[in-house]
Amino acid sequence: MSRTRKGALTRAETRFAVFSLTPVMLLFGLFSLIPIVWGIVLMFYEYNPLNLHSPFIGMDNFRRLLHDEVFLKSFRNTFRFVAIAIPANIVLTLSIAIGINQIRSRLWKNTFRTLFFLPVVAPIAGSAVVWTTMFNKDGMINIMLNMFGLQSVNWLGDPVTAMLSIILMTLWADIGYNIVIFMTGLDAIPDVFYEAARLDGASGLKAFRHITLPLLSRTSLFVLIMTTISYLQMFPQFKIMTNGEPRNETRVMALDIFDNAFTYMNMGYASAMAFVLLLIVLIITVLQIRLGRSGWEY
Amino acid sequence: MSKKSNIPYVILCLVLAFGALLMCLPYLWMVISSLKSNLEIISMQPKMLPESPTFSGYEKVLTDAPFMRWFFNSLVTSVCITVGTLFTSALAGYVFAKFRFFGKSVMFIAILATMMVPFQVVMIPTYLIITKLNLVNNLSAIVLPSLVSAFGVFLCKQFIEGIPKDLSEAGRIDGAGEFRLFRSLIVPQITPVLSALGIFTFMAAWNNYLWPLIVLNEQNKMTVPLALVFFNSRHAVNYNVVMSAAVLIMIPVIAVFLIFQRHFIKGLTISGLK
Amino acid sequence: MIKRFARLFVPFLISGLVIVGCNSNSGGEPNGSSDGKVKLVWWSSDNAAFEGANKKLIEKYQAAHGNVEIDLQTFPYDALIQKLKAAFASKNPPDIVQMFGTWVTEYAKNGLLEPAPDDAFKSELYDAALGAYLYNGKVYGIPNEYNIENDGVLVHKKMFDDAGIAYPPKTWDEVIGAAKRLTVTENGAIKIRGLDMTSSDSTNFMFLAMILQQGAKYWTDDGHVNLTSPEAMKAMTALTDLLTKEKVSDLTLAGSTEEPYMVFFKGASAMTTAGPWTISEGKDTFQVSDFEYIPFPSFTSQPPYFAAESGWGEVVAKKSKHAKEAWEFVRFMAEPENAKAWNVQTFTVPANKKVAEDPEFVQEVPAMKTSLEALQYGQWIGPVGDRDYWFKAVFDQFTSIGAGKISVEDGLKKAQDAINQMLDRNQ
Repeated sequence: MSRTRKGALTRAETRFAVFSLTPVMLLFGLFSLIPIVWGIVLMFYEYNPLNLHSPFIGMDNFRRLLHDEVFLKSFRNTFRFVAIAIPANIVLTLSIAIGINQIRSRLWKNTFRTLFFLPVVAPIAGSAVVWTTMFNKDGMINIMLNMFGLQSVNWLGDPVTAMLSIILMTLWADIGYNIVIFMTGLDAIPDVFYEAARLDGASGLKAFRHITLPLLSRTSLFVLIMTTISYLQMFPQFKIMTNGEPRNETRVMALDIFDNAFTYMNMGYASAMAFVLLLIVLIITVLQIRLGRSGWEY
Repeated sequence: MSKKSNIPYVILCLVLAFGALLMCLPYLWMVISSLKSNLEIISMQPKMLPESPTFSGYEKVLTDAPFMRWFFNSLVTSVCITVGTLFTSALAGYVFAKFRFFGKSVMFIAILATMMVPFQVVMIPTYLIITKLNLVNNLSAIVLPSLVSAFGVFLCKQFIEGIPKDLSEAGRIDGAGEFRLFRSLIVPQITPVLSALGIFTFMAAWNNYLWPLIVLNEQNKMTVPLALVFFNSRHAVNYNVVMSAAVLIMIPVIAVFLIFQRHFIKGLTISGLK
Repeated sequence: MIKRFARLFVPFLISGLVIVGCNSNSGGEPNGSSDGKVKLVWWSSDNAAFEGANKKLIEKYQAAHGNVEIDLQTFPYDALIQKLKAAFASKNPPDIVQMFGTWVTEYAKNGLLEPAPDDAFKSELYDAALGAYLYNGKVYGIPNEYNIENDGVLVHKKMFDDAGIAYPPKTWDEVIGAAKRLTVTENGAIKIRGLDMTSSDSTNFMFLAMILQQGAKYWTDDGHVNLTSPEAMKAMTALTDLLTKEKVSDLTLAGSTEEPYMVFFKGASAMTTAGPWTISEGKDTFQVSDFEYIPFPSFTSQPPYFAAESGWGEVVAKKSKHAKEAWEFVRFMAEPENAKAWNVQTFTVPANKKVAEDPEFVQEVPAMKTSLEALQYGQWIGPVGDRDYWFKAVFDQFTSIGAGKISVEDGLKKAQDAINQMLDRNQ
């Protein structure tokens, strides 16, 4: 077993690399690469698996998208959801993480972290079912409102509150994740910085702005990007809690794609929609990385 | 800390305690309503607490639904996915980290690029592929597409690259085969990453809803989250039954989490911050 | 090294194969079992009454035909729609499907169903029920049900008596008048709905019926829909007026999982338009019986014409390996005696004229009287294409108009355009 030149592989090594990588790349090709390519091809066809013929229609699916009111609404709804839920998530999780980090008792610190993290491990579909009954006319939230002498609210049925209700549920279901990540980020900031700040007379808020925020920028960027990507594709709670109703006010793109693909079986059209979603994800992520770099690097 | 900060500290504790209480409310509601009777649920005057707690909801779930079957389905698919992902990620990560060969960077970039693609893009063609393989309504349709995780490969590669090269060289001089080298020298080094990856793969598999919704249709084939929603639409009126099912499904998940809590949190920080 | 490698990969592969193996036997695919029995897989909706009635007929059939075994698999309505499309698209359908009539056309058009070996039974069935089962001169299944969704209305008679209102209301104006008096509003929100029709089905069928009752049509000669005729506008205006002007109902249930009929059985509405199938739902699930089901009067002086979909019935998949046996079972189900038993237990309107005219049938299900008397006024809704798309398009606009977001004219124009585009794509 002699090495011929630096970097080149011996026969045994080559064999190993080939044998281990081949099955992995095959699976990867079959269930990642081919679907992506196939998805891109499908967008140009009017494809319904039930039909005998699937004509090539060029850009027609995209032209149709521009006039599809339900799709345009789902487009707006997706942004409405993201625009409210993400800032709320970041603000909440960061403040809770800072709060929990201040707790001196280790036991309580862990207990709080556990309690906030618990919903993350529960199946989100199950949580959505539970929250649906909570938001019902006779559900917990209305019962509590009534106890305080307030009127019942038709949470999931009213176009004004439906999206808000789902956002509330979403926040409950996954703030734990970001809290834990922020807590770790905070732990990584050396205490020396805060002590130095205190000697300089910097108060809590000032220290937060000049130490915590900049030193947390990497963590924050990571949290922001991951949350955005996952929220743009959010599906279970929309499907389960409202199915897009009332008046399509809670129909997000992920749901519209699903319905077009698997309820109406217009798979070509749904692929075109999915491609739009892909573009949005890409653009937003690249923007965030760019802005994050220019804003935080000093 | 100075004495001055005691009052804000108490307030902070109270606020956090209140927040934690809010987080627990849905669970509380779930348990409470699972104990209500059918009649109470369809009455016009809803109450918070059940007037005469009953286990009829649980009875109905256990007699009316193949409950253990759902658990079994979820368990088998999640375990297969986790084991498969760990295996492929470690192996591919190792090859990408330590070997040089033609097309390596193209392949690796291809893997990375798929991480950005929303599931909505691939779900339709993947469904068509599963259809062609005649695997619709078959548990392997859940497992097969999830055996390779781009994120897993990426994560393992990053960690394996950090392992000093002399370590593997030493093994090589001993004349160990490549695979044994991988198993006895590399794998132990990346155990923390693997356990983190394992936990999150398992969780994602266990909680997945969209993909099973697409490829499974028979009640006996369903995984837990899908089955719960199915059950929900069947008993929409009698939600005490649905809540009983929810309790039965949530309890094991929460129990497992509480037992392995430390690993969860540690895993999250490893996979999250790299 | 390869050996070692294989040692690790093999268990992995085996475990995968085991999963495949232990699941492939019980899929939708028919399997002749080892003892020479023909095994037929039958999919249906999971409505409890349907499931029960289906199981009874299976028992009866299996007792008489020892060589056939029928495996009934049930799904919730929404899942059934989706699963059927998936199963047929993947060329792996069940042998028999209890399908909703309107869905049949699409499957028949694409050559996915086995036509009836003979169609002598055609004359026994109502045209409205049979409509969607016909394609290019062939019959692709047998309906059990004449689907009526709105020709009757659930009523709490006690509320009329308590308020001293003449019962039953006999004209459109009397119904609306009563509804207004029975509506109870508290703090600006409706507590008891006078007349509720805010489900997608009710709204759509009311709308079409009101067009027909004005002597107009909603189909054009070239197979498109016309929802912007003066009659259609008048119908939609009258419907949305119930929300905006008469204020006898509101949109709080629109699109929620709580259907208007459920709210009715909880006592929160005085009248609710619904199909007769809700009667058994009320008695079984909600355990109430203090309600009546009466005819809904015509919108005009013309008879109460209405549009009906072809209801639930059986079709046989072309891919079935036992199409002959499957069709024999379907014919068995359609025999008047069995059809009657099925209609009685599922509380559905018979598609079979003999059953509908059988005096014993009315005796067994007196509550069905209202619907049976209306059958003569029904006509088939027509080739609606993707029925869910159509109904959603109209209902979306109904809720938008009702919420004052759009005018009747613009809303109907939008629905019409969307539906016509769908029909064009479905050609």
